[in-house]
Amino acid sequence: MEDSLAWRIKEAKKKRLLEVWEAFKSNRVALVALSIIVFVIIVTLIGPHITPYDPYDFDLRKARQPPSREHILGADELGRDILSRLLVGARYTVGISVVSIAIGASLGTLLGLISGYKGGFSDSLIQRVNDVLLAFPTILLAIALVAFKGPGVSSLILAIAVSFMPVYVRLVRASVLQVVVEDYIAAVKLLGLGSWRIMLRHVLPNVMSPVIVQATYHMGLAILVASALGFLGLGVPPPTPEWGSMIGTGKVYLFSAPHIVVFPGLFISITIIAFNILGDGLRDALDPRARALLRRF
Amino acid sequence: MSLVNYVIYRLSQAFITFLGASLLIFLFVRLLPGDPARLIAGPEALEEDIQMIRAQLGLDRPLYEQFATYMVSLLKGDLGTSIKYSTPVLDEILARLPYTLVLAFTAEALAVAAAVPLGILAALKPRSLVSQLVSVLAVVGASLPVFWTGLMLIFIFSVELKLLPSSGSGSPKHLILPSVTLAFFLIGNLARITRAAVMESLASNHVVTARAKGLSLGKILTRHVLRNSLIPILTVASVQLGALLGGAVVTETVFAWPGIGSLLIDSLFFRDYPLAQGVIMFTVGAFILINIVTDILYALVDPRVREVLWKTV
Amino acid sequence: MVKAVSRSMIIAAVILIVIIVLGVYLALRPGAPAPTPVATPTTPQTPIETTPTPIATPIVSKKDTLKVAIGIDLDTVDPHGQTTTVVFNVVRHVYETLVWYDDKGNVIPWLAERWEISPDGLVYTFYLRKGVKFHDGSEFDAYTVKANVDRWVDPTVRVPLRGQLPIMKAEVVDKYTVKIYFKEPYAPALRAIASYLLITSSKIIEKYGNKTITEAIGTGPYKFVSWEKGKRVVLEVNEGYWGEKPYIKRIEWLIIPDATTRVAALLAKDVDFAYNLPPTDIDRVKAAGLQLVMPASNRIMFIAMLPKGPLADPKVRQALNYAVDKKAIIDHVLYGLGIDSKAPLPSHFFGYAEMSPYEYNIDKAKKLLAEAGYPQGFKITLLHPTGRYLQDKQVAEAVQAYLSKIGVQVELRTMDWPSFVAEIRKPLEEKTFDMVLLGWGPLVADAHFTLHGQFHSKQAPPAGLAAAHYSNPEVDALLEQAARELNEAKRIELYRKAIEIIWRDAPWIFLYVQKWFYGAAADLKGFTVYVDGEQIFFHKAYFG
Repeated sequence: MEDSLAWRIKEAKKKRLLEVWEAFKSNRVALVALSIIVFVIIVTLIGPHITPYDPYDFDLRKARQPPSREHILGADELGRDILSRLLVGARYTVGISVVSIAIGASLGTLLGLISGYKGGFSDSLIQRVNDVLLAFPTILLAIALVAFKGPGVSSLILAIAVSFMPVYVRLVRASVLQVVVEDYIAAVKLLGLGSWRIMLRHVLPNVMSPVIVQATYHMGLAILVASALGFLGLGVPPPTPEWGSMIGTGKVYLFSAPHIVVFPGLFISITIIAFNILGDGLRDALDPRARALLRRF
Repeated sequence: MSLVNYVIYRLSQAFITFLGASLLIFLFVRLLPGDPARLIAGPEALEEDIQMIRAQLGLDRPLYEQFATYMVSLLKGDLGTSIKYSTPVLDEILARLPYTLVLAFTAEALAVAAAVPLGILAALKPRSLVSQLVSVLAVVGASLPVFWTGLMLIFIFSVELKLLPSSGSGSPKHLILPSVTLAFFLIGNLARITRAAVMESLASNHVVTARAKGLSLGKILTRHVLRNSLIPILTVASVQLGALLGGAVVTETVFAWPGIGSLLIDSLFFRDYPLAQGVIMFTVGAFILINIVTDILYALVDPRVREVLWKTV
Repeated sequence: MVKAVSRSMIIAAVILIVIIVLGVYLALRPGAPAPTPVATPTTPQTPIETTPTPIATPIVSKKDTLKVAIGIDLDTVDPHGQTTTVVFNVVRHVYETLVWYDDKGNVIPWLAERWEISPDGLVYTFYLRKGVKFHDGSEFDAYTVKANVDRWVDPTVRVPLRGQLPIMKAEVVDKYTVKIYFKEPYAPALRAIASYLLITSSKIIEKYGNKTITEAIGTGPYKFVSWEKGKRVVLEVNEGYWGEKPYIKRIEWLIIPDATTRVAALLAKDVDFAYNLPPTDIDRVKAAGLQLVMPASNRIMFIAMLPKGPLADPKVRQALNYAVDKKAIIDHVLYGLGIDSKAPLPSHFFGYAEMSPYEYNIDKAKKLLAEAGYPQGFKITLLHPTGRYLQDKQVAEAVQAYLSKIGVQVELRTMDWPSFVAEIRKPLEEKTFDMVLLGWGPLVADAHFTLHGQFHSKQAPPAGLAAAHYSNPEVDALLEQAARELNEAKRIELYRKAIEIIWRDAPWIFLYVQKWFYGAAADLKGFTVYVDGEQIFFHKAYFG
């Protein structure tokens, strides 16, 4: 019979995953958020094939036309169909923010873990470099990246990742400082586990909660930063539509032709909100003790 | 190890960080493409005049020589002379500093005062109206660009209602709109971090034990929960404050607030090397100080953290 | 509980939408029915504009403080260190020059009552006005002028525009007569003296020597009171002014960097006049009953084409000119704030000559491309700045879209201004782009400064910023000759010849001359929009 310890651990893990999923499933709004995100992901994949118009076809006589039956979301500053542009642009926007935050958050978390857990020289070194990075102006980094790496998407991703990373370093380190003095860490240390194993298996899961909250928050901020850095030549070059750059260019029409900036803004907001709900839902579901406890209050 | 020793240790570290940072920043700023002499003179100026300006500014000398000069005067406390304004960099920074300090501390104080209670309530009474409001604020604040919030506030409170000045500085009235704009942007993240931290510590062993002992909710909150959840809140608030001290560029621009942020942008887009370096060094200094203060606060909040921190010395 | 929290997210979404809709509604709500604006926008033919000056006794209101919103801070108040139009505009209320312009752009006497030019064009003799005092009490005389000229030519002083006014020396003849010498005949000399040579007192020059002057002491109608960095500059009336005394006693120049905020400040009546407003807000300013001021600027906008690859062929360059509908761009992208180019310089410049424009014609463009051997088009890169000129990014995108219709695929590239300038300054073989969107706006409205700066082969990068690397010995010769020609009719003829050649060679996609959009309170009257349209003078302004 395969009733070994390994098998039981495997079962227990399965059970825990199932529990998390159950907890998450009971949160209907989080499910709606998940479906929005799935929808957005589908759009990123098939968006370019379902546009009502050619997103690049311009007509200055239609410039800034408000929403009409012909163009449901109106026309942009060059008379291009905004809906079509949003559908095509989804992939770039979502891609840029997800990739840049994945890089920034995971690197930052790793450094924060090492810094908080190892302490001593590693902590000093990581923290002092981090101090400088925190203070380093994103705009300076962005200009330098354009100059030495060239304009484009990868420079933008790098700029966002590097400017967000230091926050995770500090956030994770702070939580680690609190976790390492807990009894269970002392217990696993006594068991003689390697420090990497302790960090990744035992410390990391206990500091993830602020990271998830911060990352979902950054998801929205990344798009806003992208729209603000467009004038330096970072990001997707025109005429390719990207939501952030649509806002950046559309900013000047905020009052005269608001639909140019409001619709991309709404698409961004809805996506951000979906990510935020998902983040909170995930956080709560991953923390069943908190849920159980709260019911009693 | 005492607190005093710890502070001394950190300050000596700060000095080294500062020196390292100055080299990094010097290189970054100087290696950017662009020529301040050309930018001062304007595109229409003739090349001979620009050569002359370049020589007057010492920009024709090799980079290492310029760096040596810069470091020598920096150690003497001299940040150099602004290329654009021909005035000492320190004077330019000091002229803007009060504005930045006032705006940064007001905005952060507003944000903390609003976000922390809201976050705690959201964690405690998830079904209440307050809790819903927190999430509302969090998401709305995080997804509206600052320039949008700022301009909307200006148009509503200055143009339509004529209650507050549209922009500028000089009176407490001028401070209201920019600090509210900034706080609105900061509250969301801070409240969500608070909510997460409080929920986490509510689930911790201490709290479970305390509840088992039959302590009242109020006592549990003040004795255990708050103390445990203060650290992530402090972290985020300190990072926010540091960023604000480095300049809230968009807010300053929208409200014509003469702070450090617009000075930095101005100097970078003029390749005013000494001024840009000076402003960035100031920001680095601010962050270092804030982080020292934050680490000390960690230690005060949680004595166990103190041991972890101080044993590293 | 999780449900509850997340439900509130939905509420958040709803509120967000409500806020946005409400905000937009508030922002768009038309104001009260507007009275007709007082100042009439200029027409392309008459770029010089004056608001009605008080005839007989104007009804002057008691309000005598004027608040003006500008977009940038001053860099320096050094009279000889000036470079930026707006800063010139502010300090020009404090400093004066020997000669000045009338409202048609002709040079008129000012601190000099009259002048003589030697037949060889090398010596200018100025007979100075007597009894003029500086704000520090010292007297204006020939020695002062000499001190100023000496400082202008002193190579140890930072004078960025020295080359635009190549004086050799000055000589005092008697207390009120001074001679200014040039190395060689320089046709735009008088205009350059009128625009650049701001006069400060001898005391100040002695005090600062070759250091940057940080006290603004002039002879003008206003005294410099204070300058709070990044915030405001305050001027007060000079009671001892030699000329007509201003009605406005105090002018506060408020530094408001964001253009939309300047609109808000004007609408909220926090300021009485605002510079450089966004074209997108024209309707809103009009609806609020404010005055619109839209003078032509000295800045011509163009796309310089580098003589390499397909663009080395003039036929291709002409094709690109036919392919872009400039009028549609002016109407729909610039909200009318542009004047269709019919020459490579603004029409109010001395030396302007009108050519027949490249009318929008896709078929002709395609035909020319085919003749040149590119029936399928080609791929090129267009470099453009963002936020430097009116709607620059949008214009670049429109050009990209138009060129795609004749098969020319344009890749757009943008960068921050200093990097952009550094990129243009590279020698031809190092350049990684094929075309660049640029504006050229000299401070003096004379053909020399636009044509010599952009089309003389010696000005090609890296030496200068002649962006198209245009090189034509015939044009070089004509431009050099014109710069030395003192006979105005002959000079105009030389420029006409040069313009014809340039127009045919088409080193640029000729776009438009940029117009400005300023706004003024309904009751502000008598301000003067000056020659080049970029400078506004308030010494005759009043509220009524």
